[in-house]
Amino acid sequence: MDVVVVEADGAPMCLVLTGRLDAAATELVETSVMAHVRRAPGHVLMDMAGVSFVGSLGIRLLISAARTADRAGRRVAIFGVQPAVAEVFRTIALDDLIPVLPDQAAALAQIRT
Amino acid sequence: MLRRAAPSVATAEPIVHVLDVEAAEGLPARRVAIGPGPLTVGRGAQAGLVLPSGDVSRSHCIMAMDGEAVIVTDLGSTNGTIVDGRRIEAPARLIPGARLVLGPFTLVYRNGRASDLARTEEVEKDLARAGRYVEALLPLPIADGPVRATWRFVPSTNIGGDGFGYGWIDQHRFAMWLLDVSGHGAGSALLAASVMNLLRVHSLPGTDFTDAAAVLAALNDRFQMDRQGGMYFTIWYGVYDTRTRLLGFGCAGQHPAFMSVPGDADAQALWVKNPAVGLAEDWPYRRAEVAVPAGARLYLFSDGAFEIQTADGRQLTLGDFLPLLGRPAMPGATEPERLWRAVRGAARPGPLDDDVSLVTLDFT
Repeated sequence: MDVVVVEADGAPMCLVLTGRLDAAATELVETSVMAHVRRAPGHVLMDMAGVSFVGSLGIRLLISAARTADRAGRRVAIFGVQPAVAEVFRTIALDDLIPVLPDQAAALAQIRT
Repeated sequence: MLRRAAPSVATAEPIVHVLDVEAAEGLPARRVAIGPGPLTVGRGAQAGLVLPSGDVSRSHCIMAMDGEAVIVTDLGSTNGTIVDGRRIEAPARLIPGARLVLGPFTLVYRNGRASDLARTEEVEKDLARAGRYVEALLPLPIADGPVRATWRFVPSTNIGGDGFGYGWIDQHRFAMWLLDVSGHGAGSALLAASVMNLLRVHSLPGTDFTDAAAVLAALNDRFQMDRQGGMYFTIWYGVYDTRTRLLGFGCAGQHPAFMSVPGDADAQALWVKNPAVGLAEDWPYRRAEVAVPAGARLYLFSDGAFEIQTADGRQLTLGDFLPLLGRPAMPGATEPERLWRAVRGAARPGPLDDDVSLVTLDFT
């Protein structure tokens, strides 16, 4: 599981996640993902195109990230989700709690409204 | 209390090598040390480790130390020595955690400092206790009446946090539910147990237990993730009314339950989209309703039944599991038992990663 932070002037921070977000991987990246979300100056995008699996602890991480941002008056949006992961998000209704969009442009548009 | 200080010079504790023999064929689980001398394993009384089964050869295999490694050699046994799913053709070096299968017996190789092994064993015992606690809360099968129920529950080694139950709320209404707590371990088992206790004795004050949406909302109110050590759970909850033959149900973050009806080719998915319990405060949980024809069967199961890895490394999904529901009954086995055997057969050898819960309810 890799987390790469992309920051550009004037654009929201984008966290690019790659790999399997299973229990072991979630434990490894949880602290750094949450730290990035906390220190982000504005909204946060999560690029999940490279994530092939999200387990129950991965769901928890995404919810915690969204709640943390929300408390600071900011928002999190997810984009580029693979079909198998989208199915998990739909089952657990994560997509009713966090905006999940097809691509970065749509995520940016959503988050700025 | 005064304690004597531990000696300040740490003495290097030697590494020990053990085989954990899992309970099988009426023999309890036990731990056998592999010492400096070779350890023979077989059915015969002269073996260092005796495994009494016709499927184990008299002298089946031998374990010997080679430096700090343990080497296993098959002694020309009839059924072979299977290491991590493969029959060994030549002496093989065991890696920690390796699973050896000899006939009906499974042996797990471990190494480490004696004190570390003892600590691991203690944690495993705690987990087993947590698992037994959940098991003790499971309902008895119901063989008679308008709703008949039976189940198969196979907890994983590290306890997956599954729980389920069913029972009459009053003279006409029958409740059924299956839940799965996020994560693994004793914490998940304890949360599963507290929710099971609430649902068993209907102790959510002011909650109408015949209304699935009300039950989900009350649970959500009570079990917010922030107050439960970050844990949440998915649940399917339904109530069947014998007078109207309607099944009202709600589903919080879980895959559907499935209802099969005699004469229909495919089972019907019973699902409503709601977040898992604990993820979203004050969520307006929704419910749905379905008519239950005579002879209908409801399948409730946890994701451990279908999210399995096959021997060739494929990850199975719900779509791979569903065709099993339409297969003919297995003589002498309950429906959940038949499904469990199919799941076990499809999965790679060794213990499964998650709890497997399979419940069937038959409506006369």
